[in-house]
Amino acid sequence: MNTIMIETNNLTKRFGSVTAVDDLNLQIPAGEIFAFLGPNGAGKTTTVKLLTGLLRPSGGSARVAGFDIHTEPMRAKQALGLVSDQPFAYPNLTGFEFMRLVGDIYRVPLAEQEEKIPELLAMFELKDWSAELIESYSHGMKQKLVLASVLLHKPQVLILDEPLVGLDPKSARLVKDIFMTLAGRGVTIFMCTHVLEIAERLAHRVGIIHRGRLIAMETVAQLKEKAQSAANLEDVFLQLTGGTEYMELLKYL
Amino acid sequence: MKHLFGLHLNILRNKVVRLTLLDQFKAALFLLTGLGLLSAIYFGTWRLMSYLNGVAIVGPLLINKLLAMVFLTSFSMVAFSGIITSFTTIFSSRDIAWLMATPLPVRQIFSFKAFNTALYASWMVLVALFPFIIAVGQVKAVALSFYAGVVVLLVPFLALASMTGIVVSLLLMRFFPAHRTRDMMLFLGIVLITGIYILLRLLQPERLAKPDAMEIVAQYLSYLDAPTAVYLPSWWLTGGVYSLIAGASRDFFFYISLLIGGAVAAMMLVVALAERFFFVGWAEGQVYRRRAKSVSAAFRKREPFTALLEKDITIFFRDATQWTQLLLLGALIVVYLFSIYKLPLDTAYIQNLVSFFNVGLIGFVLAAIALRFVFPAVSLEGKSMWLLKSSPFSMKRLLTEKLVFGSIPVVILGLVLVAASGWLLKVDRPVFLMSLAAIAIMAAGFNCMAAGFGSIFPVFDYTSVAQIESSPGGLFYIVTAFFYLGINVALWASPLQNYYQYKLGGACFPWRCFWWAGAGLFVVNMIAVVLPLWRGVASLEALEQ
Repeated sequence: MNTIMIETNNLTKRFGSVTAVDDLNLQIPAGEIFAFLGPNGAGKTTTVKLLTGLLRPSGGSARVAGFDIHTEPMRAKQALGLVSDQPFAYPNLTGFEFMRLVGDIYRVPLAEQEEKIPELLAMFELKDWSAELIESYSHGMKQKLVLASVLLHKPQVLILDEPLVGLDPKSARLVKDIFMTLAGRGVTIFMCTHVLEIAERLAHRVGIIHRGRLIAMETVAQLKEKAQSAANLEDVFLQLTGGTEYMELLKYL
Repeated sequence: MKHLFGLHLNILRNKVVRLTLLDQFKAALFLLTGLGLLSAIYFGTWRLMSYLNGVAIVGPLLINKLLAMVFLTSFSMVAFSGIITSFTTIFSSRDIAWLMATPLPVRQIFSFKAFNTALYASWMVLVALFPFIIAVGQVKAVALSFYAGVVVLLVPFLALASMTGIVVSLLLMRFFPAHRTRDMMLFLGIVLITGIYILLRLLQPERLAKPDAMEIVAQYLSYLDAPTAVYLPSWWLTGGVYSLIAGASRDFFFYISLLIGGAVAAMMLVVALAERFFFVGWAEGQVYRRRAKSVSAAFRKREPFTALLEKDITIFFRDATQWTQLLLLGALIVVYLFSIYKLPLDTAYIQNLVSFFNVGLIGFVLAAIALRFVFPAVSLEGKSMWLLKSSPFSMKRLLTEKLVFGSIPVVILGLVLVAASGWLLKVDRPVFLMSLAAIAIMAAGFNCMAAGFGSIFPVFDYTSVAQIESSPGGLFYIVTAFFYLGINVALWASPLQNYYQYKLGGACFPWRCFWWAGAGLFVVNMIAVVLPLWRGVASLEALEQ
């Protein structure tokens, strides 16, 4: 549990005059499920993009599995798996072909692909759809396909942006169980989510980002202790990010 | 309805207000390149018209014929563009589902979308026609009212052309919704090839160049004097413009009545068809489940590079908007070789001249084909780019893969054209080899430039390939490519001229000049190959998703 798998040092991203991520410092060890919370536009997706090399930082640095994502991108990317908030896969490929493409890009040995692709497709109930073009998949099916593909190369770090959006309850439960099992095997999971109940149940630690700055990073129990009147993570979240002002406005509805 | 138009004005205003410095630079580049092209059209037309206007008897007839040809081509382009554009603006536009869920009548939604289609389909032709018309007006020394009259004629003409396109797409969507775009595009490909053939037959351009092939001069004159496709609106426009030049107001009112009447009738037909077919065509197009015919990439070993290349080839043949372009390529080869075959090659001088210009023309075609196949290659990754950017696949290898994939049709086309046209022109072996070398080198240059510029100016959020090609980056590429072509042709001219001089009795082959040209070609082509690729890789690496 001591090896640091995700590390950011004063990570900053500015878009013109807007600072989307401001001096972010994180250290997430192997085997930890880290829930990254924040209101819309707080900087969660920007952080995910910075950690996976989809954006270049304006300042600071990010390391994944010990490799700087910008100076040693190939080695860092080989160790990570990303499920973005918009799981867009090539519409004119079949699910099976997409899995094969991802397997080959990540250089997964052929024998392993032969064994794991049918297993993963079956696990996510996509086996009957594996010869269909992805353009005819629903949002949830695409999400499941991308989740299945990301597990193919056995990443050491999983970075997930809203991984459960669009999933049916059975699939959501499956994904949660997968996360727990993987974390048990030492995989680090960095997960952005708005579903606080999932963060509360799964996460070892929770980080809350607000207007680009990390305003809290502790276990759920510690957070509840600090926010004395909070019954659950939702209350803590609303207290920290100031989400109760709308109560007055409800009467106008 | 005004809410919908207001919405688009707001979108446009928001875009303009939020232009970044880079966007402003791109817009300025686009504007400057566009102005350059328009100036070229103006000066080209002005020179040609001035010359023709000075030729007794035949001159005015030739101008008339030229106007008819330009307007017929414009009509075909706008009509075809109307078909292609309406698929994206009317049937697969992202806001249609939202609009359909609002309490707006379907007729209003359609009319708004049809208006958008007409604008998108015709603005480019309209802009290109302006310098042409101004040049005609100046040569003919007309009054200012001529230009106002032409604008009045052009509006119903372009409306009629785009409505024709919309009618075709409406009928296609109604009768082929289940087979989706694939069948429609196949059908369109055939329509286009037939259209090009008919157009060529209607224009009979080779007859203009061969007056002596007609039995008597009177026959040539009567050909020139005869209307071109009298039942098509392009002839009504030609008649209208000519009556404005001649000051024949009765004729003008006749032709403007035909155009306005035709446009109104076409709009009524479009609305009537839309009321019957639009909703059904759109709704049925949403529901589909498509199974791949064969499962490719079954378990066999592949390198990441090969896997990506196979992915691109698979997608190319599954996406009807892409593979149907091969039909266009086929049509292009046929039309090109047909034109070469029909050329008058009576003397050795003409034969040699044509052989030389053949290299330039094939280069011109290759530059355009690279715009179609190589330039969009990176952009076509679209929203799936996150997968490659977050994977251990370097951007250098990605660009190499795109270059290899896109270059295949360009190289094949270049070689087919140079070999077949060389055979038709019966060129000498050294000239043939020189043409082959010129085309092979230029094909490499065009491909690298297209791949590089396509990476520097990618368009990931697109609804059709045409949108990528017609982006400012696409325009910048094509202008640069033509410039590169000009330099190449100029450099090749010298050894070719030397060869003919030597063949016609020159003392010895001037090797010195040959080496100079070779050195020039080496420098120009190295720049064309290396610089865009280098900048392309840097741009992809810096790309933020």
